[in-house]
Amino acid sequence: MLFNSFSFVIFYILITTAYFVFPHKYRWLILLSGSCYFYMAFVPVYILILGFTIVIDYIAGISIENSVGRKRKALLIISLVANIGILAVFKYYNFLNDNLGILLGNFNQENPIPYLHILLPIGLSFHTFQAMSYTIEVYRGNQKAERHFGIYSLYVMFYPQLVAGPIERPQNILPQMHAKHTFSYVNMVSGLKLMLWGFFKKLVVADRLSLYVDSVFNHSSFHNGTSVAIAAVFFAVQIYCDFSGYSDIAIGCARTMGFDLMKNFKRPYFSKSIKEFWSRWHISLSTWFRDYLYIPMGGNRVSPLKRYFNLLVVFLLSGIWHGANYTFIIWGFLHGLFLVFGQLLKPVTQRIQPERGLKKTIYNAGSMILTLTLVTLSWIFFRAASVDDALQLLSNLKTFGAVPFTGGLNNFAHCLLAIFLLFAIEYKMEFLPHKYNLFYHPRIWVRYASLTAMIFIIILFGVFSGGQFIYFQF
Amino acid sequence: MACLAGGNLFTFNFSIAMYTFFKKLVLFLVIVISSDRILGWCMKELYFSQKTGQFADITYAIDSARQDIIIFGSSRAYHHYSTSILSQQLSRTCYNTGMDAQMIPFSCAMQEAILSRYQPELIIFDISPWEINEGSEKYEKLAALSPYITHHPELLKYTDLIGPWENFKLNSKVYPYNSSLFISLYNTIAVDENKSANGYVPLTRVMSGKEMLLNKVKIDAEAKKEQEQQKKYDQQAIQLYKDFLNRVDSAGIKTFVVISPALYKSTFNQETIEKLKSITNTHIMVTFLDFSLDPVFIEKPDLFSDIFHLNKKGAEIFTGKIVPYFKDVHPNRKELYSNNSSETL
Repeated sequence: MLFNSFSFVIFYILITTAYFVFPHKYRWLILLSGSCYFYMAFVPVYILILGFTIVIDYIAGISIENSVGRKRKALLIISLVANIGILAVFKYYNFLNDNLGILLGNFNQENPIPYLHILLPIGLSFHTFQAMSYTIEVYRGNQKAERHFGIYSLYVMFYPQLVAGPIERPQNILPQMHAKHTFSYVNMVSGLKLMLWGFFKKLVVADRLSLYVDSVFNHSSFHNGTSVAIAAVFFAVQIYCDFSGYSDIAIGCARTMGFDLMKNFKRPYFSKSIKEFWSRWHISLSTWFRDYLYIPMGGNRVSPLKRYFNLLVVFLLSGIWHGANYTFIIWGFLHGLFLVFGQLLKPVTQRIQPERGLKKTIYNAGSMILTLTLVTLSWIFFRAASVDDALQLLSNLKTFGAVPFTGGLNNFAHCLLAIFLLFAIEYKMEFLPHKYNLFYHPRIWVRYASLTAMIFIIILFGVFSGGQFIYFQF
Repeated sequence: MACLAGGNLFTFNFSIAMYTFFKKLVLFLVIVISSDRILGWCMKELYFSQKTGQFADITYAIDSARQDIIIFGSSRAYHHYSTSILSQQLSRTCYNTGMDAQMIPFSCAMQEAILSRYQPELIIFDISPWEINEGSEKYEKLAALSPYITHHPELLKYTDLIGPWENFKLNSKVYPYNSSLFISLYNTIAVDENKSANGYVPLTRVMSGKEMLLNKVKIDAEAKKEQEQQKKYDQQAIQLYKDFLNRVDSAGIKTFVVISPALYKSTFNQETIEKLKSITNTHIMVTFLDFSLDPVFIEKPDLFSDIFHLNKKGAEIFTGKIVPYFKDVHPNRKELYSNNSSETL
């Protein structure tokens, strides 16, 4: 079920109402049943995969807690292998098999391993990582094993964040699933406002820009450099609004029921470096890699050379996490490289950075533009269907300056309006956080007028063809 | 306030917070619904006050067109059939309902709306082979019909094809005008020099030879890519196509299904064209004309505006070429077409 569908509106109203109508002891059941229905609305049979990982990790969690020494570690490894195994089969098997076929083909050998005709379960990487964080935290002793099977199942399947995060940590969400939530006016209203903002990002910005982006990226050879540059910038905005819009809806939806999910985005395109970008973009994933991979590999406590190597490994894996395609691997590698270069150049940047005044403002603006440019260039690999397509698009940039493809002036005008509105609002949030808070204005008529205006902006300028969220495929 | 909805299971406290929330929610909904009515009225006035542009052309076609000859189709119909040439040479009035970015479902909707008012003497239905390929875009574009459903309920079944909740969404008075504000404002405020001639808008741009060659390489690459994938037909679109033909058969209107000229000689679409032809040939009033391999147009960039569309010169040559097929139009045409005819040039 898509958040941007009318079915979801009905589903959300029914589940939230039932959640507050039923007594506390049955609420987990309401949410779990709702989450199962939500997930099964995509491909019903894939709930069995979720069920399998839930059973494995539930048993593993309790067993790890009851064990010591090597057995404890062995149980953790079994659980991780089971999770990663499922991920490998459904997400990477065919990719690896294709590569093996190419490799064997070079030696005139046929690949004897069959191709699997399977669909990738929606949001597999998200709930697998969330499940893994549970067993790791139990192993580390930071989290008690969950004895209530229903609550544990809900931890993995909680519908707002089931298919595209935020990837939660058990310490944050499990206690909330046990806690009794009473109806809170503040939570309900702020949650709904956040959902409205998420719908704006998805329907008015992301889905509008996707019309142009798809036209260019799906026909890479037809478009000149100007069109490619516009499409790349549009895609940077599209993917941000698509994913952060989803996160806003998820966080808002959970908040209305009294759950506090972690923040996933903090206006990343205002970052002044790639390092800062990763502290603002998909925070739940970047902190996952930091906590469960980068720090165990030595973190910042190792030699610079080892640290650079670790960074590259983490970002390569982050790329692979996104999908079984060389485009994602290159995207991850590029970000790793950017970070390494950022660290290498740190002494220089620290020396030339002005401390105050206009020079500092100009320096910061320049840093933001440079960061945005690097991120946008790397998005070309992320969005392209293949490495060949990405290289074709990059080579098309040679003709930058030619008359661009507009994809229809009406749609292009809508794209520009959407970006303008987004920029204006995000700029206010970033640099004027305590001014012009129209949704939270003390005067009721300002609040109602701004909320009504937002609703009609969505109705008048949104795209309602029900486009899927990009991150569902991961 | 306590509310008991039966047994212990459903006992819950209707708290002050809930009461406050619902009170404010009702107030907010009243504001939103009232605003929807007011803004919807403004949008309607703006939309239907347009005198030029595609929206005005749709309005005219649905509500007022009564010409002898009606042309249906996509952008290739819109830009390929000169209504003035057809009118002059056939001594009949003519209107072109073709529309950019639209496909079979839109043509069907327009046909049904028009046939509910009167019967034209001749129908020309320009179709492109890819219109029966799988893809949801052809249905999403039907949103262009939304402003008309209040006075044309026969269109509801088409807007329903957009999505399962589409007709429910149309309860909003603003929603039918989604994405139309800029165009409506432009057509109302600005002077549109490109006013259509009875629905026909010629394209003035001329392709260069270099552009044609450059695009040929790309087209071949894309065609190769598509050939590698198994072709899937959209059964719903095929059914709509059959419905279109069934309606002209029942009404006894002489109809020509035309595949207009292409820039590149390609055999890639031949399988689809054959499929369209075989469907067409089962309809007594319908003649199938295929110009996709017509040598007059193949690799003649000066006759094209872009790789898909003829320019003004190309459209005039093409319209002149097809006129002889329509010459024998008369009301009792049904008897003359006892044998199904299918012609390929």
